[in-house]
Amino acid sequence: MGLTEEETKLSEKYQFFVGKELNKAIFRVKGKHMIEFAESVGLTSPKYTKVETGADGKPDYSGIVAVPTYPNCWTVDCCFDMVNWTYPESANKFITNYGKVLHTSQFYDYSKAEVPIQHGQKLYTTGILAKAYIKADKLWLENHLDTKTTDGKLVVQSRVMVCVRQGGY
Amino acid sequence: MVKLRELQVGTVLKYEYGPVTREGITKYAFASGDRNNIHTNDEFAEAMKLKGVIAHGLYSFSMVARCFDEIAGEEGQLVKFGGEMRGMVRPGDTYIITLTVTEINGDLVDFKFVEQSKTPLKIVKEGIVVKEFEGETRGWVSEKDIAKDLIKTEEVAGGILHFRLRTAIPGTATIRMINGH
Repeated sequence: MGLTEEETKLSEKYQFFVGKELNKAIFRVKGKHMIEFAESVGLTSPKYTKVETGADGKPDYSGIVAVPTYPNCWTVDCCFDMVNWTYPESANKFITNYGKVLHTSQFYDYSKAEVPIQHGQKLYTTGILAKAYIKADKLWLENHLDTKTTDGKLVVQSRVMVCVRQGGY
Repeated sequence: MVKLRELQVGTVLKYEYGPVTREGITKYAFASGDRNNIHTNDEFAEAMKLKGVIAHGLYSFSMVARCFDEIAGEEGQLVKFGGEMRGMVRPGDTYIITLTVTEINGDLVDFKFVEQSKTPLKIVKEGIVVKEFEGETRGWVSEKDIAKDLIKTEEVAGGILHFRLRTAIPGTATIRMINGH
């Protein structure tokens, strides 16, 4: 991170929140929505969009998978739970002005995924605030998230960085 | 069409997508669930001092995934990717994504990338402005952009196009080659 001595000192206050769990998010994957999302970002490959017709005449989405950025639909919301956090002693808010919060980076890791994201899954995302520090007059917050299926199979790991500008922390 | 297995360390690839449209941003807003008015309502975005709507950072991020998906094709799978959202992207902009292969280790191919946004400003012919784009009329160019020498020109049909070329997202990615290909 390359913090100055002063930034390290200023960051101490926020270590109380490091390791705190974010709100658990539940997301139901629907084939029709997967296709809408894929098309909205210009991904029209059959592996994301080709729907067969089932024996009952209804669309069969079992042959498609979600595009790699599909977790955009839930990961950021998980992190914004932090705007409700308070200090235990004072009940003062951790983030005092939501308008000063910026989403600054996103990282997806599918290397340990056990199953792809597919229609019909109910996905559970849990995560923690992994790092909090002051740098260049901004509060930087790095969140680590795991998204799993109902039976505990990992589908993606995400890292979401948000920054809070001066006046917001 | 780029063949994943033919890539070598140092290979540079370039992709262009665009222009970004309000309809495209709105479609993404509904698909992703992020319907913040700064992305879909010009009046609201103006009131927020944004000089008009901006694309979602994750929409721009998804464009990067799009080019990696093209490279991976049926031979590979994008297993890791991430980037920093640094610059706002607006309707009329074109994404220019430059990828460089940084390492090939077994079945893993690592890349670094830079996604830039190209914002058209005006077309000038013989010293006269013959066409102005939103970037010019809404004042999207900042003094910082000028100081950083981000304003460029190129010849186009009808004159010289003045545009801003700015980094939107730099980052890294890894594609895993699938056995059997």
